[in-house]
Amino acid sequence: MKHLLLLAIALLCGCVEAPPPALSGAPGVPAGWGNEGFLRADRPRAFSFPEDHGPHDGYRSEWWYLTGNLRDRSGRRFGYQFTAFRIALLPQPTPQRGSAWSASHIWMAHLALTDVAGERHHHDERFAREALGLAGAQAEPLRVWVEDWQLSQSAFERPWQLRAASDRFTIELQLAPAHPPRLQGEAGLSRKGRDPGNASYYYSITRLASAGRVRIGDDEFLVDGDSWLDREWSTSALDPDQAGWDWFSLQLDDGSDLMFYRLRDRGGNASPQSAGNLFLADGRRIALRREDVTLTPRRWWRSDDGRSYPVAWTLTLNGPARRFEIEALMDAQLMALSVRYWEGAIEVREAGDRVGHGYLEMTGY
Amino acid sequence: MNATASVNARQLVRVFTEGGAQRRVLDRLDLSIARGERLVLLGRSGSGKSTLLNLLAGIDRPDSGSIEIQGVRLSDCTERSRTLFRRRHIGFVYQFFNLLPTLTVAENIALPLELNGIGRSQASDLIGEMLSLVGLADRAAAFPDRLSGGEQQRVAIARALIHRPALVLADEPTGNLDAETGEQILQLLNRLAESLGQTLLTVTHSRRLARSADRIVTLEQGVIAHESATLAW
Amino acid sequence: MVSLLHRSGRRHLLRHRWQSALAILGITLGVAVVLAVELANQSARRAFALSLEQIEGRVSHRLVGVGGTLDENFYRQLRRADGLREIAPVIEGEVVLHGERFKLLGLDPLAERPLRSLLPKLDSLQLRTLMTTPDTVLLPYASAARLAIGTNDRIELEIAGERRSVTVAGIAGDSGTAVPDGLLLADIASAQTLLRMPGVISRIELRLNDDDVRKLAARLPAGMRLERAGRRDSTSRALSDAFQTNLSAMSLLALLVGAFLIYNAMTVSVLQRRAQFGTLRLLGVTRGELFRLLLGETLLIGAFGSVLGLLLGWLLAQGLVTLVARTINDLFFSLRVSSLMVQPLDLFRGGLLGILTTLAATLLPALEAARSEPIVVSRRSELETRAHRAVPWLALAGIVSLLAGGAMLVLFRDGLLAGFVALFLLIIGYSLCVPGGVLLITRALQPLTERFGGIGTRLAVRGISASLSRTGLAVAALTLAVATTLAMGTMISSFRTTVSDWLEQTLQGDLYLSLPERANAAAAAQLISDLHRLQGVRELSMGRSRPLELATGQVRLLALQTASRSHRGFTFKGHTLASLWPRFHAGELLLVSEPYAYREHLQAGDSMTLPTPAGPVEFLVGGVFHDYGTNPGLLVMAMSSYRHHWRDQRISTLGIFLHSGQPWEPTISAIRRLTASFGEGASLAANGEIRARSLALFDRTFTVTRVLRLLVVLIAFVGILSAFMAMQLERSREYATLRATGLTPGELLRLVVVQSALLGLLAGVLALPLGWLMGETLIEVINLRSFGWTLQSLLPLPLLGEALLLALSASLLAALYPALRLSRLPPAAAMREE
Repeated sequence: MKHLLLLAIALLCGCVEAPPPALSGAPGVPAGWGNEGFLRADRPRAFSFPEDHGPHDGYRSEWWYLTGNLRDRSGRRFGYQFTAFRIALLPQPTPQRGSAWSASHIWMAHLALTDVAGERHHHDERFAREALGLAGAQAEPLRVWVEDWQLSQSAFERPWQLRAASDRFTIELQLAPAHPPRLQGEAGLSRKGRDPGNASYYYSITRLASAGRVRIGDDEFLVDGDSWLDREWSTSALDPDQAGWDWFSLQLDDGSDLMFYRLRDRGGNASPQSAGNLFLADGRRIALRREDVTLTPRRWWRSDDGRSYPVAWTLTLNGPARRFEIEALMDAQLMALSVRYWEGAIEVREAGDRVGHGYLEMTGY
Repeated sequence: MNATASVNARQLVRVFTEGGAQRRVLDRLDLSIARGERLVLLGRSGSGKSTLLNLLAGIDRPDSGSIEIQGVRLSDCTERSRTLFRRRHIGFVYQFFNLLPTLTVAENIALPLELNGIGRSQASDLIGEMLSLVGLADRAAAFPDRLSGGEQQRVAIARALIHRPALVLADEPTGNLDAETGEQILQLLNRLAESLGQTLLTVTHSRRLARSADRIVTLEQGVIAHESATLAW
Repeated sequence: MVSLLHRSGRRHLLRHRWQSALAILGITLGVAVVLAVELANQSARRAFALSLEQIEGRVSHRLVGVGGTLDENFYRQLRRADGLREIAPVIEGEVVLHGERFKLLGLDPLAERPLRSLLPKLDSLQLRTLMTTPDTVLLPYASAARLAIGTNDRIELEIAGERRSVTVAGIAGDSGTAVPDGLLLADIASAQTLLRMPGVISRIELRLNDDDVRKLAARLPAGMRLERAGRRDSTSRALSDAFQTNLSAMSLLALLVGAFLIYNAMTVSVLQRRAQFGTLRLLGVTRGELFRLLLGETLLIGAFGSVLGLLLGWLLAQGLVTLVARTINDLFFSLRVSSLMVQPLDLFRGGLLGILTTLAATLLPALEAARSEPIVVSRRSELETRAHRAVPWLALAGIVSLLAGGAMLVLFRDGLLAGFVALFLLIIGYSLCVPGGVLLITRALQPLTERFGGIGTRLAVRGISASLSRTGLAVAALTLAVATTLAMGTMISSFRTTVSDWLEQTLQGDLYLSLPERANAAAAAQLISDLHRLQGVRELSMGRSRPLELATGQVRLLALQTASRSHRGFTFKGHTLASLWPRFHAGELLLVSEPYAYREHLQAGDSMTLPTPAGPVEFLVGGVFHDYGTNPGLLVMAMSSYRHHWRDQRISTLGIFLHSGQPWEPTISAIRRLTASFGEGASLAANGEIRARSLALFDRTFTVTRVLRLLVVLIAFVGILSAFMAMQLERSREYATLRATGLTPGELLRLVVVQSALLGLLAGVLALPLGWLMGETLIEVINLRSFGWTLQSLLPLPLLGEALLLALSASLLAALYPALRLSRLPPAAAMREE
């Protein structure tokens, strides 16, 4: 889901300077940048793998979004995020220009590592054009890369590999999906706005057994844990009056996984398109509508730039009556990059007991 | 301002070198002038009159001998001290008037006062008074080139006396004027010097002009050839 | 000090208002020229520094290929395998827009941010257009405003002889943010296409720490070099600096002329008031007071003239800056100066320079005034006696100064500064000898005029030596002024003749055909064999020209396959190795252009290592040839040798030698038909056209020097006018006496005019040797040290005539007013004056 806004802003600003302070005021689509010619996510489609792990060039934007909770042998906890965004400049490939630099897509990638014991949140970004092999994506075998950051698979059905290094930290993980991809929304069509075309194709692999190592400075930690992969592509998703969102992914110890996003309008109210899914351990899916979920912020954290983010929540399911207490593993998990948003590892409790972990993303604050 | 000079020149020698030959212009000359005395120096051209005048004015220095004016040994002073001494204590009247063409009559007369640091208000009183004394009250604003020779010399006299110098030196003051005007100028000079009690040394080669002097000294070949209280002819 | 004294001084200046005005004009012009050149230079420097700052940004290093380009894949390798992040690819080329040279920079907008902020806040649409629409560029705000170009306009670029139409996708920056004028920004893909550089980029710019530098340097492939940012273009910058130093020196020469004139004016002013100063001394004004009085007066003139000079200089600079920038742009590197960058400090310095010069020029006259004896009768003769006595001593000092200047030239064979110091010593030395020269010449003339001249003429000639204190000085001032204009003229015309001759010599072919860079070797080979078969074509020479990155900077490498006549196109400086041409063709020898050889101290017999794609190869320098075309260096080698080492079969130019006595037209049309397939990039030009174009460019680059020369001429003219007029006015009384003693107005008129003309002529004649000496020094020393060029020195006759005419006309004009005034005035009135 999410991120369309991010993409727009990143594109606007990535090559020049820091983004304008108010994400919430930014338009969903860059001014003057028409959607003409792009494919629209306006009807259900048949998903097929491994092809759909690869890029869908006819859509304006697309991403591969990995988040996860990790622990080393001593129990030291880490959260991580890796995202590769593809942004199409044109619906069709750029006309042949006799230059290997000519590109139809540009890429942005975000990488973050939350070191709970070290009380540090490391993050970095990359930009590149899809040209000269600087960045790109392919389905078979899967390879998504932005310069030296790469998510790949040696062959279909083999574990995924994530390798990404920044100046200060490195993440190298093997990711083994615990189940086949799970379609979000209505059979993979996720509506984000009132307009029928404002939707995306969205699937997840809600649990990937993850093992590998992370390095912070000279310290290396052997880690394992759970990751979550979100895949989404679309041309236009949000309505103009949507101001931001809160996205939750919970991996519960009982084997069930929950995804819910609340889209907020300018008044701070949840829009009707807010939705999610609860996947039970046995594979059954319970669709969650706006009315099925109540979200109550419990504690706010104020970042250096003066903006406050709710870092502790109560998430109440009204159908299967559950009440989760959600708390960030660390308050300061702000992605202070070309685009600023809060994205971090969380812990989930129910009636005072730890029942799982997950990731939370908040924008538009 | 009323101090009068006593000039004491002893054994003055001044030698000029001209084209390899040496010429003794003054030769062990002794001269004393009392305070308030009016002395006329007679002599032919080349007798050493002007040289003596220059030495007394501190313009030139003797090769040997001493000059003392008002107790200051001028012959031992530096050029600068002599200049400052001249500014304060000597007044000049010369044959060619030597007025500054770029200054008006009043300004020419004011110059010695300014040089001696006399305040402006006091100066303007003195200038007014002096202009009436020399009979040029109505020409104060004129530039020198608009004046006749006699008028110009009156301005020069006014300028020489305005700051009440101890010694007034006059070098051929009538040499450039017709006889009648010359007579008037000389009378004016004598009268003013007398009334102000100033020592006056006038250089001339005209015996006729020497009548009003207290004493007459005649120079010949660098020495005093003749000295008399009054004219002896 | 006493206010009456000041009042008197002021009134003197007012009464002699012509004289004062001309003295002020002298200093005004001097200061104006110096300031204008300074402002123009500073503006050019600042514009360059600013644009460098913008273009270099936070770049610390550059990765360049020895052949001028890099494989683009190396960039990916650095990004992907080495994980270097603060690096950006650059494609750079020269293009011509609206007849101006622009630098086209191809950048990757996504890689730019860590390095610099050349790319402005683009909206995403502009970014998309830039990245995806072929042939789109961004134009800096300043260029767009200047050329009245707006977003979405289509503009015509000339790129390597080809016309290309591109679209302006946006304007970079605004009036506040200085994206340097003279740049075109494009996405790297567009630039690569436009400049036809497939597969390669010009360089990679990096921001590296020392650790990265070591690591990268250690694993750099052959043919690549890592250099510190700012190192590039350093040769061009040194040359441009030398050019600007030359301009500054010439402007200082103008000021020196101005100073001489002030000196003259003040001396006359002191002489005029000799009697007054005597009276003042008598009244008890001390020497110090008199000295200060004079200096104060001068300060007034100097300050007034300086302020006017600042205003005039500022106005002048507006025009001059364009000329300076254009010359730099034409000769050295792309530079556009949109506006004058005036800093208060420049103005302050200009003003101070004017005042100090005035003070320095007045020092001697003021001292002279302070030496005034408190005497009543002015002893003019004494002054003149002193002046005559000083003549041998002045001449001696002059000869010492001349010898010192000569010795400096011999002892310090390098260094521009030493060259200029020597030049100034020569000038001063010569000027000191001028009064002696005046005396000698007039004494020589006297017997003639005594016998044949009328009374006016006789008095005129006698008057010159009799009043040497003034005439000697005036003539010295004029000599310098006239000599300066002569020297600058000589330099320009020698330069032009040299270049013209050189072009004639170099362009041995009848026609020159240049092929586009993209033309492939096979097509060129086909063309050559087709050309050989053409009726009118007798012979062909072939050249391949390309940039070559040396450790000392970029030079051009020219590989030549000569025709039988081609050898004549080279003229060598100094000796060459034996059997030069056979060994050259055998590939042993390298020919080096004079500027490069001068800079690198190379001569025939030295060896030189060139980086080739296969690694460094040593060559022997066979000879040093004259070259006035390619800055900063040209290396020539045999085509066979080049192809062997560089594995490049392409051809850049073909020299076509035609059979004589046959009409060219059919051959030319046949050649045009043959080259049609090469497109617009192939251009055919007759050698006459090339020569004309080159000379036009030469003239353009020398405009600024010509303008400076004209300014010096103007100053010289004003100076002569003021000096002579003052001198004649000062003698009014003397003339009145002559009138009174029976000289008729006509005779007096003749006296004044003849004397003026004679003095003017004297100055003109004495200026010829000095002008020649200065010109020689400028040509043989200053130019060689600045640019490494040897020029044939010529002293063209028209310039000599012009110098004499200048001196004569100004001095005659100067005599006119005093002479008329005197001859009309009744003698009595004239005598009354002071």
